Amino acid sequence: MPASRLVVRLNALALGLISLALVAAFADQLLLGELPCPLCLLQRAALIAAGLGFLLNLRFGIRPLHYGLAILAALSGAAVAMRQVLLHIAPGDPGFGHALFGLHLYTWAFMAFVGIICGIAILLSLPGSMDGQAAPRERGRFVGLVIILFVVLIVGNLVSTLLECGLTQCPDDPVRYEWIAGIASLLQGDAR
Amino acid sequence: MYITFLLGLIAAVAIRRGSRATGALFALLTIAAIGGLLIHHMTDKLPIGL
Repeated sequence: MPASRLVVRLNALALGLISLALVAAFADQLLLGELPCPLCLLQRAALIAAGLGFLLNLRFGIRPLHYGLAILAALSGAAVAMRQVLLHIAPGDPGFGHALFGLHLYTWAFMAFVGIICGIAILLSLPGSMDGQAAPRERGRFVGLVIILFVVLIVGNLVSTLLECGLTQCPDDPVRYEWIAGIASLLQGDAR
Repeated sequence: MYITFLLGLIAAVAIRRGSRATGALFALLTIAAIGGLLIHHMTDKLPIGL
């Protein structure tokens, strides 16, 4: 397999893993009823921004600018995740939300962002990593599906955030979907 | 907060439709919005309510 093709496939894998992390976050929100806090939403947005770098690579070919965007996004996400880790670092603090394998989701998010940066460093170190600068002609079914899933997840996050926070600032410790509660109270008011 | 996802969605749609410059610009704006909101979260001094 040519090195450039391998790099394209690894970019698709990275976008797939980011989509998987976003699906897991949604599962946590919808199945376990844990509403994401503002910092959690920012970490999701940073994951999406990092994914945009890989999406650019898949659509237009491998370019340094695309990797640069993904690294910037991962750095911003790591800063947000570290901010949340430090908010809950005091002894006795239970942290926000539940733990997964002994670590909170924001700690996993921090490791994921560091992993993205390390992954890009490895991708850039592969021989011929910048050879395939032309847009890939055939992306394959897997890549197409991953791209569609990624876009659907962005739409889902936008809708979910609007329902949770509306057009204003999100509460620090959200307990309900503000727009759904607002619509419900409006309907109840009309019924009276 | 929704603004970050809105910018990200515009970037993704632009990239899918074949507009590299617009996609990259909005991806950068998404990152800038994340940075701005993080600073806002830490200082509560920026005049924004996203």
